[in-house]
Amino acid sequence: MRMEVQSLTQGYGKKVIIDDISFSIDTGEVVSLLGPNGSGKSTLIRTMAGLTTPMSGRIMIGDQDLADISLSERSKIMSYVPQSYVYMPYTTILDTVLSGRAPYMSWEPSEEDLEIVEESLAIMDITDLADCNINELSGGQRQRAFIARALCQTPKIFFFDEPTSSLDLKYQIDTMKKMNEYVHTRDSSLFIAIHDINLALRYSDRVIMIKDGKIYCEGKPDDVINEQSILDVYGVRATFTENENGKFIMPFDSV
Amino acid sequence: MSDIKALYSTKKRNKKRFMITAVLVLLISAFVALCISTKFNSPLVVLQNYGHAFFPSLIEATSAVDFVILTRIISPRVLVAVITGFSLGLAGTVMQSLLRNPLVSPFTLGLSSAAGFGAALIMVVGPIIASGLYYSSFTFIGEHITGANIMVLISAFGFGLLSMGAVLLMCRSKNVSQSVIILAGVIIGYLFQAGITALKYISNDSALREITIWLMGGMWGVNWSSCLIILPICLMCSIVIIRQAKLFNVMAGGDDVAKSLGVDVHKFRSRSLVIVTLMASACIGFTGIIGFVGLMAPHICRMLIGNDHKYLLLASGLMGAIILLISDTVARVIILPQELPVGVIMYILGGIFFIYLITKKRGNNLQ
Repeated sequence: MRMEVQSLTQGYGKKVIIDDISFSIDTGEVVSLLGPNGSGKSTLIRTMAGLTTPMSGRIMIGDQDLADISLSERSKIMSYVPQSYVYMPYTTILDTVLSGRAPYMSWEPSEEDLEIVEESLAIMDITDLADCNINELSGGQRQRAFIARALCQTPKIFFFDEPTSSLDLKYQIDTMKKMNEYVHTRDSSLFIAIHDINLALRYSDRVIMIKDGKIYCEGKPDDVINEQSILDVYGVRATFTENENGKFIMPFDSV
Repeated sequence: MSDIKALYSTKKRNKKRFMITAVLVLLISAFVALCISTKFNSPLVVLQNYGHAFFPSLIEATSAVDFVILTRIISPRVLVAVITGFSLGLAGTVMQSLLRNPLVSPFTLGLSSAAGFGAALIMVVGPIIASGLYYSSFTFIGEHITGANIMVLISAFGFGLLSMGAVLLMCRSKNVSQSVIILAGVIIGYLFQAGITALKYISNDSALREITIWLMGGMWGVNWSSCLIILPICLMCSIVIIRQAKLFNVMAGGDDVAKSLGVDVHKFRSRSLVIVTLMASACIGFTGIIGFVGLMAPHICRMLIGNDHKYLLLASGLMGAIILLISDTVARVIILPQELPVGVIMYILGGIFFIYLITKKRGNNLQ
């Protein structure tokens, strides 16, 4: 399902955070959103996920305006994984992930709901933690459970706000690899705010770099992530190296 | 069957077993409570007197006094203890889930003090400013319901709503910490306690005595009229709340996640808080301030059966009913022939439990 952001402006009170941004996300695409702290990544993602109403502009899902889609319909089209994690103690991982089926469930989960939960737990490699209470797990394990909950929603578009920040190296790569496979094989798309440039280079189909609420550049990762864009957007000097696995960044100084 | 399906059915079976056990414990506690009046009656005496109540021509009462004490004093008292405990347990779970804070309850959020102030206000000023209405009464299913009852109910609910509105307003900021929510509740509680003290100061001797005894929290003032008022309110509110169990599960993930899962968060939170405020205020209006049931019951149940609200809401209600009923029964017998206000026992139990919660490192989710 194609998503189109048209002249979107968003902020808090009178302060503009996102300033007249336009771009689109196509089905089967992983689009990474890069930018320094405070550049408006979370604001953009939350607005696109329908969690806040834009100051101006439109967000089109297919040929429908997001504003005209009810909350219950939206919950079947898009899912959101926040940057910070919130939970209630004594909730098992199984119940946490199962809550992602809420838009489809009545009272008890169906056989299909439980099969989807099982698959999502397996994708995030937390099947053996299903019976554990969420307050007994590490931050990374919790984060994988929250991604599994989003998978359970079986949406068309995933919005992830820095979901890999609390994961260790293995699971950062693992999560991005699996999400990339998932999106490409199931006709969905992923819009992800991410800090790790190497992960963005490796697993994105397209990258959008924002600075001060405006799009600095947009395109294929290898084309737009370079010494100049990293310097302009992040204020960091970096060099790049390439091997058979692709292009990698080596930041060495800030300006 | 797959691992997850097997795990889900095992968990579900365990939760159902817990519910059945809770219902049995509640029934046994209620029967024991019915056996205790001014003396310990044998179960046969209770059964015979109930038999007389339902089949007066077939079964004789053991004595007219036993019969009246059982059917007019003890029975409504036991029923009100069950309804109040159930409502406060359920209200505590709802508040904890909506605010994602395991330390909130009708008592710790100041709702009890606010509803208590509302009720005390009517006791003091009702007879002066609306004596006609206050002393009026009407008959409903054979019981006299007084204007004072209705005025207390409305006033307790009104001030209860005010306190919840104030808590929501103080906690409006997105990044408000869990401790601030508790502090907001404590502050609101203090404000209404100040109001209660002022009311005591200006009240006449009889109103002062009435308020003082009522504030201690107890079931001694209740009768079938109280049951007729609070039972339908609490039953309807409980049904509405329990039917929304799925949405409470979703709320555990935070406001943004709940919204992305289709919940209109602000509407759901406000509506649910109004419903539990009505339940809790209705009970508090008749029993006085009974603290900590709404804190203990959800926490114990969450530890035992987890946070799935399809079971947790009902389980917390049952646990609240068990805690309050047993405490009330103990309060009736511990210093026989006198009785202790059940509020005193709840303060002691709850205080110890609260200290345990705030000193426990893991699992309390406090930031």
